[in-house]
Amino acid sequence: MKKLIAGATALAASAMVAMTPVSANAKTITLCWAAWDPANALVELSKDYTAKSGVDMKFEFVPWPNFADRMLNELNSKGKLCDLLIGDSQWIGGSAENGHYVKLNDFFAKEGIKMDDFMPATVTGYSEWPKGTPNYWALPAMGDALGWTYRKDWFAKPELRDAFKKQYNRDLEPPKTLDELVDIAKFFQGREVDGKKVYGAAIFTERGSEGITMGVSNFLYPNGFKYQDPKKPYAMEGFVNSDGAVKGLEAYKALYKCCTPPGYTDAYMGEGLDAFKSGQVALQMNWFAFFPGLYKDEKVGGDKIGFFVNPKGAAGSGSQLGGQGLSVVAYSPNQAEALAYIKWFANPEVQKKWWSMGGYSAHKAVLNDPGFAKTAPFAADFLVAMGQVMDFWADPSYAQLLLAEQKRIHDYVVADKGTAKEALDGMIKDWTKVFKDDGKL
Amino acid sequence: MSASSSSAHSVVEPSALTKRIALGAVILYALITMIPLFWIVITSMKSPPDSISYPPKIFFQPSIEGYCNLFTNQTRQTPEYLETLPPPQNRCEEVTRQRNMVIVGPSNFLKRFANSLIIAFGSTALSVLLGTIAAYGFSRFKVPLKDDLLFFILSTRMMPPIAVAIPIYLMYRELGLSDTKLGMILLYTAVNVSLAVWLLKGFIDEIPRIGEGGMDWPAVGAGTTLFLIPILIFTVLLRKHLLRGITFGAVRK
Amino acid sequence: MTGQKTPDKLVERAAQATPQAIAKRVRGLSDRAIAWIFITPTMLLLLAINIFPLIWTIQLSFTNFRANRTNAAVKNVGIDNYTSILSDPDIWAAMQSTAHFVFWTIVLQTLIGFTLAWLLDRKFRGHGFWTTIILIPMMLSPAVVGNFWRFLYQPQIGLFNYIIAFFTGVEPSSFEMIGSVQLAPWSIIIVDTWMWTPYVMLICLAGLRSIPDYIYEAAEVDRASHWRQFWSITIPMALPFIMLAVLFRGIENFKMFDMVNLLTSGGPGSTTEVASITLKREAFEKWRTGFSSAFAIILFVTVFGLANIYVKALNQVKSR
Repeated sequence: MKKLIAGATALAASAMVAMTPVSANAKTITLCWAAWDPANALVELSKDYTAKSGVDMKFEFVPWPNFADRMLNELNSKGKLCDLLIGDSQWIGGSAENGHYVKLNDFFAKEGIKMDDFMPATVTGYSEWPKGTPNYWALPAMGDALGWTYRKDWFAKPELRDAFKKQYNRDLEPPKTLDELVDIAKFFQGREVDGKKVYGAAIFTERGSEGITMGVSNFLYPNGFKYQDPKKPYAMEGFVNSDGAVKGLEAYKALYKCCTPPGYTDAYMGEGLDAFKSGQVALQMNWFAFFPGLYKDEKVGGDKIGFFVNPKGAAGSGSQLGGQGLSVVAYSPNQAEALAYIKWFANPEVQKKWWSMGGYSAHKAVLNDPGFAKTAPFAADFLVAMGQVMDFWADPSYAQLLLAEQKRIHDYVVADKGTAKEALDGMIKDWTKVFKDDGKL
Repeated sequence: MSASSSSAHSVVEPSALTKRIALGAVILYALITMIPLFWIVITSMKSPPDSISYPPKIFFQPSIEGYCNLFTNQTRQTPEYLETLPPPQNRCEEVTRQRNMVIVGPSNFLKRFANSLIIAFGSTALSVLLGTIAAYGFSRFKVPLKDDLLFFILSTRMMPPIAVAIPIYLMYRELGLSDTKLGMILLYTAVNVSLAVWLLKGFIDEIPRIGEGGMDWPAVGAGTTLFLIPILIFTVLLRKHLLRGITFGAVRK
Repeated sequence: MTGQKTPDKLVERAAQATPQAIAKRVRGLSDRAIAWIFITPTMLLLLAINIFPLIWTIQLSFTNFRANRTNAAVKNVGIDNYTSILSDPDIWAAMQSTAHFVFWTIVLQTLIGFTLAWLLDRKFRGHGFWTTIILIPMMLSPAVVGNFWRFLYQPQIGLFNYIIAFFTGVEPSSFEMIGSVQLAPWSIIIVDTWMWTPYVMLICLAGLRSIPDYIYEAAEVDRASHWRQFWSITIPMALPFIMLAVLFRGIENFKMFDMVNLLTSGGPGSTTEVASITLKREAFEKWRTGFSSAFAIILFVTVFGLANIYVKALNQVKSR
C-alpha cells in the first residue's frame, strides 16, 4: 500500500514536472499588456532591447474586454506570469495598497530618472498613489486620452458643405462645442454619401467592462461633472449629479439615440474602429492610441481622416484620460531584469522611437520638441487633450465604482430606464455605499 | 407541435410516406442548424474589410488573411519604415505588407490551443483512470453504504460550480495551482469523474469476471489497462456522450 | 497495440513481471480494504474540490472577507450578507431574468427536441447520419458559440437579421437582437436552443427506443388508433426520459454564464443579467468575497431544493 502511494506520488510529481515549462538558456522576461496596436508596436520596438541586452522578451497580450479581469486576477493570485505589466491607470490604487507593484522611488533616484521629465498629467494619472504625492509605482509608458476622428473627405464635399450651411448657418468644420458635434452627427445620420447610407457617430456604449463610462465622461466633464467636492473628499452630492452633469448625460443619450449606426448598443473601441474603417460613420470617438493606425489605414487614412480634441461644453473643456504606466510586478522573480528594461525604456532616444512607431511617449524630450506638433496630424491635438484630462476613480475599490456607473449609465442610455438625474443619483448612492464599506466615509 | 396522426409507430415499419416526411423535416432542421457554422467558416476566408462590409457578402475573393491574423501579431507602420525591412518571407507576410503592416511575431493562439488540448486530454485521461478504478471497486467488491456513496458521487454533478468557485480560487492561490494546467486538469477531472464512475460501473458490471479467481492483482492491473486504452480513446473522441451514459444509468436504475 | 496477443497471455506476462513481494502483500489485503483503495482516490478528489470548498463557502458567507485584500481584518457579520442579498432589488431582477431564461429554453428545447427524436425514430434510411449532423452544435464550446453568434446578430453585417429580413420583408438593420430590451432575452434563448436542443433530442431518442415493440403490437391488436397510441403509450413511456432531460437542462441553464457573458454581458442595461453574471461580478470583479459566497449558497440551495422536488416527481412518474 505504501509503495502504491509512493508510486502514485512519483507519477504525479513527474506529471507536474512535465507540465512546467522548461526555461530557456538566455534570460527571458515577460511583459503583459492589452492586445492592441500600441502593444504590437512595442514588440517591434523591444527588438532593439533584446539586441542590446541579450534578454529575450516575451509578451502576453489580453484583449481589452478581458484585460482587467485577467490581469487583476493574476495580481490577486500573486501570479508570476508577468514581470512587467502595463496596467490601466485605475488599478494603481489597489496595486499599490495591496503590494502588487514594486515601488519605484529608490530605483528612479538611483538611475536618475526624473518624473519632472514626464508630462504632469501622465505622472499623476499613471504613477502616483496616493494621488498628488511623490510615491511612484509606474513609469508613464503610454500617454492616452479620448479624442475624435472625422471623415475629412466628406467634410470637404461642396454639396454637403452647402447643405450643412443652409441648415445650420455655419460652415461644416470640426466642432468647437459638443452641441456642434451633435449637429454634425445629426446632419450625417441616414444621409447618402458616395451612394451609401451613412450614420452620424460611433460612440462608446459597451456594457461589460468600462466602455460606456469612458464614453459618457467626455460629455460629463465639459458640462461640469466632478467626481467629488474639491474641498471635501468623497462628498459627491451636487458634483456628480450637478445640473450640468445631468445635461451632459442627457446630451450623450440624445446623441446615442439620434446618430449612431444600428446595433450600437454594446460598442467599444473595436466596434468604433470597424464602423469608421468600413465607412459607416462621419465621426468616431476613440482613444488617441488608435490614431496612428487609423492615419495609416489604406481605406480611410491619409487625406480622408481628420482629428479633433473633445469639444467644449457649457462648463469648459475636459477629456477622459486613457493610457497606462509600466510597472514591475512584486511577485516576479526577475525584478532586476524588469527594472533594467524600464531604465532602457525611459531613455529619451528610445522614447522618440517609441513615438515614431505609434506609441504615445509621455516624455518631455519628445513632447516639448519644437517639431513635435508637426510629426503627425494628431500630435498637436494630443498635447491639448492631455492638458485637459480627468480620470475615473483610481481607488482600490475602483472596480466596484466602475461597475456601478456602467450599470446606471447603460440602464439609462441604452435600456431607457429612468431619467438622467435618477441615474446620477443612483450612482451617488452606489458609490457612497462603497466608500462607506471602505471606511472612507 | 404534435405528432401527425397519419403516421404509425408500430412493430411494422412506419409507412414509406411517414418516413419520407420525417426525413424531409429532419433534413430541413439539420440545414437550418448548420447555417451559423457554415457562415463562420465562410467568414474565416474573407479579408477583414469584406467581413465587415454591409450588406454581408456572399461572393468574395477568398483571403488567407484571417488565418494570418490569428497566428501572428502585426503592427501598422509607415511606408518609409516598411522599406527598411527585408522582403516578405512568406505568403502571410506578403498579405500583411500590402496593408502597410508588419508581422511582429507569432500570436499566442497556438499556445492557447495547445493548453486547451492538454487540459482536455489530461482531465479526460485522469477522469477515466480514477473512474475506472472506483467503478471497478464498486462493481466487484462489497462496499459499505455503496448506494449512498454512488449517489454522493452523482450529486456532486448537481453542484453549481459557482457555489465552490470562490474557495477553490483561494485554495488554488495558496497551493500555487491557479493559472496552471495541472490545476485546470484537477478541476475538470472533479467535474467529470462522477460521470465516468457511473458510466464505467455499468460497463464493468456487464463484463464477465475472467482471470480474477485468486485475486491475481497484476492480472487485474493488466486487464484494467487493456480496458483503459480503448475507453480512453473513446472518451476523448466522445467526451460529450458521457452524459448519455449517465442518463441511461439513472433511468435504468 | 498488439492486436494479435490474447489478453490472457498479456495477463500472464504482467503477472510474471510483478515482484512476488508486492503481489503477496496485495493478496494479503481483505476485499474490503482493496475496495477502499480503489474508491478512495475519487472520493478524495471530490471531497477536496466539492465538499471542502462548499463548507468553506458557507463559512465565508458569514464574513466580510475580500479575496483581493488579504491584509485587511476579517469580521464576522452574521447573516448580514444574506439579508442584504434578499432585500436587494437588483438580485431579485437577476433571479427573474434567470427564471425567464430557464423556463423558455426548457419549453422550446423539449418541444423541438422531442419532435426531432420522434422523427428520427421513424428509422428512415440515413437517420444515423442526420443524427450526427444535428448533434454538432452541442459539441462546440459555449464560449465559441457566444462569440460567433454575437457576430451573426450584428444588425448591419450579421447574417441573422438578413435571414429574418429575407423571410419577413422588414429592413434588416431595423431591429437589434442583442441591443434591444425586448429582444435581448430572446437572442440568448435562441442561441441556447440552437445549441442544446440536440441534447434533449438525444435523451428523448433513448426514451423512444426503450419502449418495447410488443406494447405497440398489443395496441395494434386492440385496434387503438395511432393518435391514441402516441398519447397513451409513447408519451407516458418516454416521459421519465423527457423529465430527465428537463432536469439536466434546468440545472445547466440555471448556472448559465459564458454564453450570456459573451453575447450581451448582461445588457442592455441589466436586462439579461442572469444570476451567475451578477455573482461573477460580485465575486471576481468587485471582490466582495463574503457577500458573493452568501449569494452562491442561496443559489445552490435554490437549485438543490428545486432539483430534489423534481427528482421526487420523476421517481413517482417512473414507478407508475
